[in-house]
Amino acid sequence: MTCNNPFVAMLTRDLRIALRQRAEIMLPVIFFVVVVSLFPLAITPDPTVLKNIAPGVIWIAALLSILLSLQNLFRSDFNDGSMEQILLSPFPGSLLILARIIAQWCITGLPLIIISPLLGLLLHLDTHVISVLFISLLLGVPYLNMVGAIGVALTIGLRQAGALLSLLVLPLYVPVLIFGSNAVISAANDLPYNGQLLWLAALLVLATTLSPFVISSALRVSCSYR
Amino acid sequence: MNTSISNVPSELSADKLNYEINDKLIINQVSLSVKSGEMLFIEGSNGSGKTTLLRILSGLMQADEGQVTWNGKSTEEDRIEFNQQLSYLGHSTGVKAELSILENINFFSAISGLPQKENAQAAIKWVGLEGYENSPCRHLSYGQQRRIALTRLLMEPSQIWILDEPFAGLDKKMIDALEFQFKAHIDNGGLLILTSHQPIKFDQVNTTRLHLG
Repeated sequence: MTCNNPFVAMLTRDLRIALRQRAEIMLPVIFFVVVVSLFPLAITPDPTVLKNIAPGVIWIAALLSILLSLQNLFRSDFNDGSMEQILLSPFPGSLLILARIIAQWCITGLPLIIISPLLGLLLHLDTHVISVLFISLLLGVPYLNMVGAIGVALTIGLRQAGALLSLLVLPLYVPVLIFGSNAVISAANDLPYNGQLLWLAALLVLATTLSPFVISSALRVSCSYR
Repeated sequence: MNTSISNVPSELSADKLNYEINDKLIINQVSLSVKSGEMLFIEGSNGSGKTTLLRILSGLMQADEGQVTWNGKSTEEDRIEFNQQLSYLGHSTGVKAELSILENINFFSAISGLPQKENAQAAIKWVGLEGYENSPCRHLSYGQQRRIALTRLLMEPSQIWILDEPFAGLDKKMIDALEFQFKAHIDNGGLLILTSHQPIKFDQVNTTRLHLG
């Protein structure tokens, strides 16, 4: 299939590459499922305890799983020279980068969100609480992808970027972790949770509008110091 | 073969460029100017700053001092217009190992955002890779991957070609084809800036030589 829209071409290219490297794209979702399902084994199978810890456990596992998936973002583009071509495209770099991150979200974030209701059931969450968990992840995970990409763009030129990346990105992840898990806890206690979800939505809008510009500038800087 | 490009006379120039790496001045007060229909051949030993200079000219790096201008305007100010006229080929090919040759070529062409000068099939034929269109690039040799990157020269209707060691990894036949294409590009009013360790034989071409290091 040929396509002359640069945005769509970027998106389809990344999805196609991901589909041809299935083992790599499965890793974050397997990590997510394994971490969450180890909790009942390690702590207790008691439903009341699991119900209480479930929102935090699922949110932390989702966050770490996204952090794990960040290591590969932009890496191959940077090494094989396609990043240079992307930066030299007359098409705005920020839009190409947005396409790249949407693809990354489809590959790593979306599977987590889709599988999260099953993990909610595993930890004995009620149905209406699971729906709030689902919405909170739907709003929060794309934010994690975008803000994580800023950290990757800043550290991509460094050799040992892993630890620095976590240090840069984790403080920015904390608000989403708090709002996300708190929305689910509030729903479980029959308290209003709209406020937290609206905060997540606001953060997502902020990240979607601003991060592509930041990432594209950061990549330009990283590329110029190769 | 249709190789028409913009016929407006143009000029790419650089004024007193300086660039320092680890307190060593790699690019020292370099000024240059290339006009339509001219070639700039950058010579120098390994580590003399040829690649750095090409990256500065293409806009991938910024000089510590001095500026690059395209038709009198700074390339930083008019990045989109400059990028539309630019084909840059560096050491890395930008070829994705997981994609097929055709998918790679179509992607290059899509992000250049411009109508293609030649169709993908003609470009593949030019680099002698017909019959391999749908094979994944990971099975190809380095030389073949370089050839895929070179198809961009045929497909992008750009006026400025900035090429870092374009002959690396190519066989004699491909080098001849490429030299022929360079000549056609220059005759059509294009600008060519390249580095090479290989002597290049263009008798009727207006060539400026710049020695670094």
